[in-house]
Amino acid sequence: MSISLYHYLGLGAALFAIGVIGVVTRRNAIGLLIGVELILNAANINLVGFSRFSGKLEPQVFALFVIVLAAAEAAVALAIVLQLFDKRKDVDVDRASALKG
Amino acid sequence: MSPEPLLFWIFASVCVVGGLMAVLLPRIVHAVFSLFLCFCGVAAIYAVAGADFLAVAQLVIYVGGVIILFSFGILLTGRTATSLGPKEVRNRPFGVALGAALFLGLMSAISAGGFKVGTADVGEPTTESIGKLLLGDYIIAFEFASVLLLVALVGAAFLVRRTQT
Repeated sequence: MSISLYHYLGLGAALFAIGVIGVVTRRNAIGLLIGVELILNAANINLVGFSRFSGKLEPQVFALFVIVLAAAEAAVALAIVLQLFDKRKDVDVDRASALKG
Repeated sequence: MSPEPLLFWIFASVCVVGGLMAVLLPRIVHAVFSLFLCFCGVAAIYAVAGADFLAVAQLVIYVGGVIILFSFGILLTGRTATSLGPKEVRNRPFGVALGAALFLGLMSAISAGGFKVGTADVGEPTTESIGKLLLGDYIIAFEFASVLLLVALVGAAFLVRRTQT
């Protein structure tokens, strides 16, 4: 049985759902970021699948930009998490509610 | 017979198992190492799909960069996450149910999508063509991405500085 586009999309959907589980269950800020990274990777797998079965390279260029943005996001988010830890001595996102109205 | 199906299934299961462990393991250190497994699986999937440049980029940036960043994040935030909090335990069944429902919904949407599935073969090495695209059609986006990376670098360094008291 050969691999079709639907296999890649299915894998992307699975990783996306796993990432969403991580984002909604973890209260640790780094755990939350892990979920976000999984979601971004799911999007990339979809793009690569489309590239594989259309023979075009543009999806791979988009995937590259997604990787760049994910790296920048991870760096800034971890900086914020460190600052949060400095102030509050934990990284529980539910207790970081200083900006709540 | 091409090795693609076998390799795809092997690495797809590596991705899914690694991802599930990254999301469900109670200790956050174990979660990061599972994420490492998952990212390696994703890189292998890219390689299977013929996206060689992207596979290497995934290894260098995610496995070599983001995972290390997360490890440092855990180091610097101390022993805060050795077990699940009560809220996480309570949320877990709902989260897993939501994820399963989302997956089933996405799968039905995908199978109803009616994509025109081509059967293109895995082509040439992609590095040269991607380089030409990046410095040709997508040069503006490429330059914006480099400015964004600079801003993120400076911003992250600014955020983590110790405030003088």
